[in-house]
Amino acid sequence: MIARLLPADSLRTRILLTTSGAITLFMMVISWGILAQWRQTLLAKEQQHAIAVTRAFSVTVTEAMIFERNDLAQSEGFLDNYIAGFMRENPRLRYIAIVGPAGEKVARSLQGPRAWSELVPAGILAAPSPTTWFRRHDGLGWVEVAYCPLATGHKRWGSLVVGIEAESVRREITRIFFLLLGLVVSVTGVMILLLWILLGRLLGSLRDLVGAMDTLDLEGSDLPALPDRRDEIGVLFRHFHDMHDRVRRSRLELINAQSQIYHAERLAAIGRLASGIAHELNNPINGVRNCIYAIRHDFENREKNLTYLQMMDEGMEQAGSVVSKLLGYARKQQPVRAPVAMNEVVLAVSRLLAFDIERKGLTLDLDLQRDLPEVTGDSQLLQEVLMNLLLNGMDAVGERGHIRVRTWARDDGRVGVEVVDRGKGIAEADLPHIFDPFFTTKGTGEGTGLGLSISLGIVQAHGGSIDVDSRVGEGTTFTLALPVGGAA
Amino acid sequence: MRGWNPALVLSSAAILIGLNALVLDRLLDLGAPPPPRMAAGSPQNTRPVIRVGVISRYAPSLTYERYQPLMDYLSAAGTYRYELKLSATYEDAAEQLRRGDVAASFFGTWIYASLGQRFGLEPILAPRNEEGGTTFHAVLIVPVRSSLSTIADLKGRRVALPSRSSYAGNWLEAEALPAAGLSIADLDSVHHFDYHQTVVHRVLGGEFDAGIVRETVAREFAGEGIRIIARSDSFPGPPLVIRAGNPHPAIVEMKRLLLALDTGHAADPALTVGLAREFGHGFVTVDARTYEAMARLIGLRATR
Ligand SMILES: Nc1ncnc2c1ncn2[C@@H]1O[C@H](COP(=O)(O)OP(=O)(O)O)[C@@H](O)[C@H]1O
Ligand SMILES: [Mg+2]
Repeated sequence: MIARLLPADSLRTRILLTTSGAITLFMMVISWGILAQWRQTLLAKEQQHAIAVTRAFSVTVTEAMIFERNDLAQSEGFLDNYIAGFMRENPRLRYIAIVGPAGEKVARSLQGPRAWSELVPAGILAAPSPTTWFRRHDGLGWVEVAYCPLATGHKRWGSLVVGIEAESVRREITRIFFLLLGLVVSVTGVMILLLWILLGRLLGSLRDLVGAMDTLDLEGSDLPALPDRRDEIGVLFRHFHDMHDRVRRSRLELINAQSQIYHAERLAAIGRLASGIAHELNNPINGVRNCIYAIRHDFENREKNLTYLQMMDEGMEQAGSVVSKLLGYARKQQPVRAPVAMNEVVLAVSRLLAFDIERKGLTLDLDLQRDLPEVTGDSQLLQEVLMNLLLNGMDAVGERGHIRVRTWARDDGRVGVEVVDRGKGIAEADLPHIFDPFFTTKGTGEGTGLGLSISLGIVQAHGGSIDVDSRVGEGTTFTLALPVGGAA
Repeated sequence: MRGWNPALVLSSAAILIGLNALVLDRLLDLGAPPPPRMAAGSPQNTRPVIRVGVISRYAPSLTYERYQPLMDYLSAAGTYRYELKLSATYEDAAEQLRRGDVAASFFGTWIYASLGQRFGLEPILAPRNEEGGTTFHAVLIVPVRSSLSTIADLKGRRVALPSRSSYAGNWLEAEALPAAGLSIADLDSVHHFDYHQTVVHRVLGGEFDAGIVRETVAREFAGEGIRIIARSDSFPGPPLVIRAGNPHPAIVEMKRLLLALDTGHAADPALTVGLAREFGHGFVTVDARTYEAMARLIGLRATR
């Protein structure tokens, strides 16, 4: 139960244990001080009382001794009677002893230790004024001894020694000691309980804050409501709110910047397609120009002209389709989620690259599985991925190289797309970095280092993955796996 | 600190408990060191002892209080150790002197006058009064607000008197009343007290309308609500008495020391205070003739 109330690692336990230890020690030391002071007073009072009692009795004793010494007393045993009477009247008395001026035995009570040396310490007899001290007698326990000289002027009659029980004093000290101890313990207990509750509240608020941090959703606009407080915890809450706002703002800025980078990369790819595009446009334009030339040459031949016009129309259509393909690739638009046939994506990209491939004398094999299941996502973005992989492959194989694209339905229910080249491969040291943004081994103006990083982002957004397998000098295989039906 | 260690907590608790036990133990140990041994006894113990008697004019402890300082003075200044010796009755005191149990004895004036001749005693010294004179007076006192103003006014009143064995205790009956044409029977009542101070207290307390005390005692109470309305003829002071013709050298020493007593210059201030109460003004030499008048008066009373 203790382990549950005071878990070993909690801040609360540590604060509690340290403070309660310190408080306990502190209060104990204070109570000891008070006790010592109080004991001093008690003992002083006891000693005063003892001296007063002894002094009072010494008057009677002196009188009796004067009578005895001057033979004025009629009966013997005068002093013995006084002693017995005084002992009866004062129940706290344990013994009384009277000695003469040279320490000779005069009279004593029946009670008390038998030995005179126990009753009257030798050194005390010449003390000029009453004094008291405490001592232990076997069998009697603690006794306060009061000594009073019996004298008139310089005439010394002897000494009076009175033993008063002091066990009651010790009991009183013990009682007050435990009373104070109990007080200290209960006050400390109450303080610890209060501290425990207070710390519980404080740390509870912190836990609320931590909970709010955990459930924090940067996409979502609002924080879970935190209690409105005026204390330091409230300040913490408010700062947390502000931080949350700042993080969200900078995240929006990041997304913004990222989309700009996407766009830049897409434009870079378009730049690389430009010569092919120009060529593709050039063919229909030349055809149209030839037709125009032929029409002008034999303007009257209406039948032939119709055929030429037909051909011009086809040429313009071809040019239009090239432009629209390019526009379709370059347009920056919101991502959509729709069924996508990966085979179509592969074909669209290969068409865009067809001229480049032909010009560089490369071969591109397409091995597309029929009845491939559709994935869900944005075909535009997936085209971009494939474009990146193919452009990288074309860069790797150089002139007259060989690239193969394969699509198939994988055993794990996903759609696989494989881009294989027999190119130079990727150095082992580079392999962990190729998906890092801005990592490139290509010269300035040739590579941005963004292609793979963006492609990975797109594929992951579709719930898929990219694997790479490469050997220097032998070639590289990139494998896409996309879930059928897209990311949940 | 990673978490808390139960062993650590337990051991600190044990230390706290141990500390408390230690503190309680210290608090309960009342034992103060026994008082240091002091030199006992004094050199005067070895000197020969001279006993000096005092008639029981005061309670024994009071007698010691008043006369012990004088013994201390004599012991300190002289070659003997002087010790008091009290007696139960006046006759005992005279008997002690005659037997030689005591070398000298402080007597009252009245007592010496009554016993001196019979026991063969001789007065040698008497104390001086405040003015340095050798005679004393008895006075009649009343409360300040009292309407009494003469001895004749005492008729039908209650009067407090000191001991029958003192001049003051006898003055009223023997001299004052007859002189005013009254006798003791004309008073409401008289009562004798042992001590002069008691008389003053009773008068002040209103139990008695008037009282008679030695003039020195009346002066002690001056300003405390009493007034003197009559004063006796003078009488000689209470003598220090010896057996007639006793040649003991201690008597010579005592006489010398007491005549030389100069309380103003005594070395021990406690001694001065003690002496001042009774013998603050020194002593004068007296002889049997000083007390003849008093003895005659007593003799007169006895025959009447
Ligand atoms: N098929 C491949 N064969 C060899 N190296 C490749 C291949 N694909 C990518 N790489 C390496 O990965 C790097 C990063 O590629 P990418 O992110 O597309 O940037 P970029 O093509 O602009 O350099 C390339 O610079 C290249 O070194
Ligand atoms: Mg690239």
